Amino acid sequence: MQKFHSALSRRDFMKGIGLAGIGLGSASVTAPVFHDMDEVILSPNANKQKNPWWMKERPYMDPTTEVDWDVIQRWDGRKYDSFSKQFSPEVIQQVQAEAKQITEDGIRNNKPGFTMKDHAFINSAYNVIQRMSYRIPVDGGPEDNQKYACFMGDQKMLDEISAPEDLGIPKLQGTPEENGRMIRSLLRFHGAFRVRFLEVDDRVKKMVYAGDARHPEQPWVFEDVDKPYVSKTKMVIPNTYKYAIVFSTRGSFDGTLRTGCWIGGGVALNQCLSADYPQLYLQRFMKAIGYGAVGSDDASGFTSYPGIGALAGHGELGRIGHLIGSEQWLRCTRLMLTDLPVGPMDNPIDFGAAKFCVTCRKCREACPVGAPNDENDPTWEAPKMDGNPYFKPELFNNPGKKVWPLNHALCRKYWNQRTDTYTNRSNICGICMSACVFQKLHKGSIHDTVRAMVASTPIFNSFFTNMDKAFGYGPLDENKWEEWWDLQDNMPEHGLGSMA
Amino acid sequence: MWYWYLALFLLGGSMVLLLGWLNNKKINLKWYEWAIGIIALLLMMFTLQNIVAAYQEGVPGAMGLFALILGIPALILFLVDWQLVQRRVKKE
Repeated sequence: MQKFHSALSRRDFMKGIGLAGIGLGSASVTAPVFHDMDEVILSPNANKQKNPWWMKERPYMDPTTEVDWDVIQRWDGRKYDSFSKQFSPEVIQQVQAEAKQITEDGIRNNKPGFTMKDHAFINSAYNVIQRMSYRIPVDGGPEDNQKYACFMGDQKMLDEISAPEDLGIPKLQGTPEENGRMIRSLLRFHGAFRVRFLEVDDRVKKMVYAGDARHPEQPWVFEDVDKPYVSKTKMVIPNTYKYAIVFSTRGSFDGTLRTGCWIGGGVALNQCLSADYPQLYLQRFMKAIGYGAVGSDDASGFTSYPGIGALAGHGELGRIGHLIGSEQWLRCTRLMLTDLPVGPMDNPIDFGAAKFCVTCRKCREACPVGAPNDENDPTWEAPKMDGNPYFKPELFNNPGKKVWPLNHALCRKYWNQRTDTYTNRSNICGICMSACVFQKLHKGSIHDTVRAMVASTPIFNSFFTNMDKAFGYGPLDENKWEEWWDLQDNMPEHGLGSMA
Repeated sequence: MWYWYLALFLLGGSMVLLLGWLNNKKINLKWYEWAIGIIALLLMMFTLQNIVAAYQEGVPGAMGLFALILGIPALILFLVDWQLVQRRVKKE
């Protein structure tokens, strides 16, 4: 007789149910449940980030980008200029006229990407955390003596916190590994993506900028003092601040795909600066445990954020001039120096991105002005711009690294051509970022498959570049820009993640 | 995510039905027929996952290309496997 049903008996079925129940019960009892921060820190689950098998770790402070530490010097951000001193007055006027035309077309004629809603977005999304912060008074002077609060932290936020010495208790003691796990957990809570650590040696000190154009009379200097301070003539970083925390933050994927217009610009203005938030909360936490941390905001910034990101192992520098994240699309990385011993120190990584850029020019082809470099291989040279006698790469290029030098002047020119001239809010472009082959949400298993293959061998690199183009990955067409405003509940929270 | 549970349920159910049917017909698969079938199944699952992901990533054009470049080879492998089994059984 043919059997048309399973041979599983009722007895075996009930036995299976019982075993499953025992298994679930055991799992719930043995699963880690944390009762306090100490348990979190000591948990074996809170370890140094493990890289995928196909990602190689390089020697400490030796990224895939060659760096000549004898040549590289602390960059003086006070001299940074990428537009006003790079072109003739006629070109600057022409750019302003183009921006005015686009603004008028946009707001009055509903040009996609430049409509009234988009105008409101780019102006309102600008991240104001650090500009709203209370500054540390200088020499008893008025509060707005220091323009930006990010160096030592927001004064009022810090005044609410009692240091251990104020409470008569000892400051927190822990091994660098314990402290590292604690800081990683804290920064993740406050919105950071990945957290890595470096030791502040002479090389990392060279990465710290010498000054910022927004407080030109107060350069950043290293001194043999115990605590940081701000005076009328300097912002002092103690030499006792021997540890560097380098954290990354993510950005809106579909917002960045709407780049070249005010939607993408608003996203960038919001999210480049959103790292101020974890930074300010970290500074409060540090005070509460008896330590300190110094840093700065996004532009021109405390350091070359892509550069420090590459050194700390967040990604690699490629043709794009920005950091190509090892796992996901990264908006930015930030550097903070601290006296809290943290560790273990992280190494740079190699996942084939820089090698990929040798044959890929997708960012260069997507850029309307050709700002990414067109050479096959990276170079020690500064970018060139034939036919422009005003061009001064020394005002934005710091020699001492072998890269594909980005032409900041061309890049900034395109931004300014899309300035909102009603408010003089400069647009921020990111067409190169949205075109980059590595710029993916990683929902699809194909992306990790491609990454593993790219990391293992370069022979398929050209094929993958062509497939990326054929499959349609990259900036969205102009006719899709305004769909942003119809996303509603499909808009990811904080713009992070995917629409669907 | 519910669609993944549904897909796994349907897949599991289909496997049980297929194995039951093979058992009833007293058909024993050769090792290479198993291998081709499993590869075809994995390729089909890879295709479906990437089609859904392309939709989630807002790249609808990629959905069709995934179906074409990965899905068709998966179907071809299924057909080859089916024909291998059918012709061998017929001969026997």
